[in-house]
Amino acid sequence: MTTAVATGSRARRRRVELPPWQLLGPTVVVALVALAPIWYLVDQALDRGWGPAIEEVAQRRTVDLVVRSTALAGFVTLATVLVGAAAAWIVARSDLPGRRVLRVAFAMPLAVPSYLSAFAWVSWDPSIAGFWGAALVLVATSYPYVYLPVVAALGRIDPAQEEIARSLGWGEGRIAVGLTLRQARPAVLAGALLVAQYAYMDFGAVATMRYEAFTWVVYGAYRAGFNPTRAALLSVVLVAVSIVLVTAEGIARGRVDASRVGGGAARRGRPVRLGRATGPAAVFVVVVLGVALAFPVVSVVSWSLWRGGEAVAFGEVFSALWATVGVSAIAALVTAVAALPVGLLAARYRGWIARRLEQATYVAHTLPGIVLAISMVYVGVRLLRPVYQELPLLALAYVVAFLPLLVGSVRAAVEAVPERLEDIARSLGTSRSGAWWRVTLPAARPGIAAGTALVFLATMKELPITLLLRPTGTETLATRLWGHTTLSDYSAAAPFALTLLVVAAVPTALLSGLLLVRGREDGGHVG
Amino acid sequence: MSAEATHDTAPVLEVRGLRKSFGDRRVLDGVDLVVPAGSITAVLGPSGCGKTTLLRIVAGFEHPDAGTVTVRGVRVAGEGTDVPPERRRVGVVPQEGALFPHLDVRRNVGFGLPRGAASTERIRACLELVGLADRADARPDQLSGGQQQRVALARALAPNPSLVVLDEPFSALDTALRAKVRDEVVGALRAAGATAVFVTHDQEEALSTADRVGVLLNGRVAQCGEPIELYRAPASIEVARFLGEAVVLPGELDRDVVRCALGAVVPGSVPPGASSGSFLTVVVRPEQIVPSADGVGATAGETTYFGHDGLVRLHLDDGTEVDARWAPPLLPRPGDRVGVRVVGEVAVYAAPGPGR
Repeated sequence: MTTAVATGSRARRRRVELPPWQLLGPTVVVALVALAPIWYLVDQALDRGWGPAIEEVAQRRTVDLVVRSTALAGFVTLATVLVGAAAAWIVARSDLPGRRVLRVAFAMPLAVPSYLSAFAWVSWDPSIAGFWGAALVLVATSYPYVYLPVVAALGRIDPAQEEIARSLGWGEGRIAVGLTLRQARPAVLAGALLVAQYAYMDFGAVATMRYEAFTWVVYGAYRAGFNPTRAALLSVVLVAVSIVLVTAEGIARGRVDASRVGGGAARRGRPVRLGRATGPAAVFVVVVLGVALAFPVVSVVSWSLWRGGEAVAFGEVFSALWATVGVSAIAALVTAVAALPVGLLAARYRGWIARRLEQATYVAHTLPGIVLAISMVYVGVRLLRPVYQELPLLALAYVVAFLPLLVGSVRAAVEAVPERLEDIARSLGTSRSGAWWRVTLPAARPGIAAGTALVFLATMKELPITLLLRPTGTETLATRLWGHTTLSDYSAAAPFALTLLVVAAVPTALLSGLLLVRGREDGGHVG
Repeated sequence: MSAEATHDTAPVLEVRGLRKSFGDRRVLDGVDLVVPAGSITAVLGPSGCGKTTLLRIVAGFEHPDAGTVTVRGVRVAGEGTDVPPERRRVGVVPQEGALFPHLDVRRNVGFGLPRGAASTERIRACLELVGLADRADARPDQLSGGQQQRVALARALAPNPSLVVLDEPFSALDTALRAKVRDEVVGALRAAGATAVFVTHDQEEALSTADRVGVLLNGRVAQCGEPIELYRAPASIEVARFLGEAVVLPGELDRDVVRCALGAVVPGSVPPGASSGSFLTVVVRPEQIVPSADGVGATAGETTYFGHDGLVRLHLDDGTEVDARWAPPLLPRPGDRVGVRVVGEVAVYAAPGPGR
């Protein structure tokens, strides 16, 4: 810690001192809001006291549930790390033809909602339902969470390192795995943590695939039996898993800096020649994009072809589109404002308080959307009755749900801005908070914008929170799609599915573009 | 800029007894440094000697454990004072420029200025000073390393600071560019009449660029003075060795001269308490040893050729080996017989050991 200070300007220095109130105040407020659902959960879970609660959790079926969900999340995380890292390496470091197109194409599955992908597979062959069906869909829809940060990290690595490794007798394969990808470890870990959480809390894929994971069982407990205590208890178990994941991430995060050593202009590395591995690499690309992208899109298009003479309800599609974009934009902007102080504090301050405040905003992310929705209903009834079943409560639920995505983006983007720049700004007469406003946040803008786009995208695809909290009478693309597909009315669902794919694809492309631009800036002289 | 600064006799920067440790590692151990107005002072020291830490404390980015920093007569750090960086009026030029990546050159230079017409004029003047008036609209990544460094200087000078500190400002540049950028930067600093402190580990850079050089060794300023004085009369053998090549020989004081393997040499000054017959240590620079037909006899050994001169290893007849720096036409072949003598005054120190 202190030695990092001693090595001077190049090292990352984080302050142990207490952050100023301008930063601490908003962060505490955001953390409290993010923790509100936990308050509900504990309150609800202990509704009948400790005895029945322990009895309920200790049941055989609860243990089985933990095992089933963990098996799914573990498999999905492992598979996404392999797929995401391999895809990133091919795009960033290999000489496979068409890398520029692939760079964006690999990010596109972010635009495909898990329930849509799941429906596509089930409509093709219902027997795929179960563990493998759920795993397939989750891997196909969530591997970009590993792919995107790893591509960005690989772009920042000094190519001289690979050249030096070669001069020391390392082969291409050993360099790719032992040096290049190893340095991307923090990015891989950050992505893997997101995927693990995604796999635990996803509702659409497991519900459609009828795999009895937490979220589906909680939904059943809430909807069918209206058993809120069991739903809350199961959610508490999920929160425990979440805390384990967050803690593990903190311990495992390597302090590997992909920093360039020495001066001179940054160079683009020479792509690694694949040679005989070109064939397998091409097969990998085709399989991944085929499963994750082509198949769902082709399915949705084929559903439209099934239609008979019915006219498409353009009015319904338009109003659903308008509602989706409006709600998502509001959610993304509010989340960005909430994430700024938390991410800044996490990037610039160490110590117990800073760490706990950041973790508080992460915990809510592993509350499944359905549980978050139920708890926000409760918060709405108890505290915010005037906005219950209104837009503000829905937006608040989205903020709590997607805060971790943006806090991570803000933190990473701020960490990429050298603190030296803040020092310089202060020597030019700017206060510390002034330096954040005038230097740190503007310089981190591409990363923050990318995170905001990510949230916008996630909100458009979001299903369970929207289902339960949407203002009365409002239908979004996702709720329309859900309504039609649960009745296996694929042809009626088609226009909504197609529209959702198209409008969700736009921010995905934007996001990839921003990440590519950021990769180039990081390669410049500055910083 | 601060034209009045050159007439001001009070020092712009006064550092007294500065101490700083990181964990168990003591980086600064009682640093004293005085920087006169209008001067360019180099802080010279080996890598990791705490040069950068010293600058960061002066700029206000670090807090000293003990000692004081005074800028233009105002205490800014130490003994309970801690003026934040934004109120110290100390301009900073870091290694590799560190321009704000999201701002163009004009906005980088104008960062520390209020908005307004006066600032526009000031930005233009500062860019002209560093010879980059035509690059005002460029973005940092469109500039070469040297240009970035000059913009960083213009940015530091723009708010008319009391003092400019530069942290190894040229070390990231390659050799060819380095001398050119250095001349441009020093030229701009002089034209602005600014008082500046820069740190470097490069002896030649310090000696050729600065008005005054402070040698930072083992956490202290071992010596501070004008380059010529420093090189000719180093305060200690350690400083002598750090400032360039040094031939260290035992000698004996004989009235006005010191007798050593190179014959009778003239000491610049005699250590206190030494009298005729005292054993002393003599430090001779290789370029002070010149060919002389009636000098001390020696056999030439290996030569190391540098282009503008060469270093020849001489085996003196009494068995001592010394290095001499001669112009190429004078360089002997290995095995040649030569005679040598010492020109100019040499540095003399009290000898350690039994001589006392």
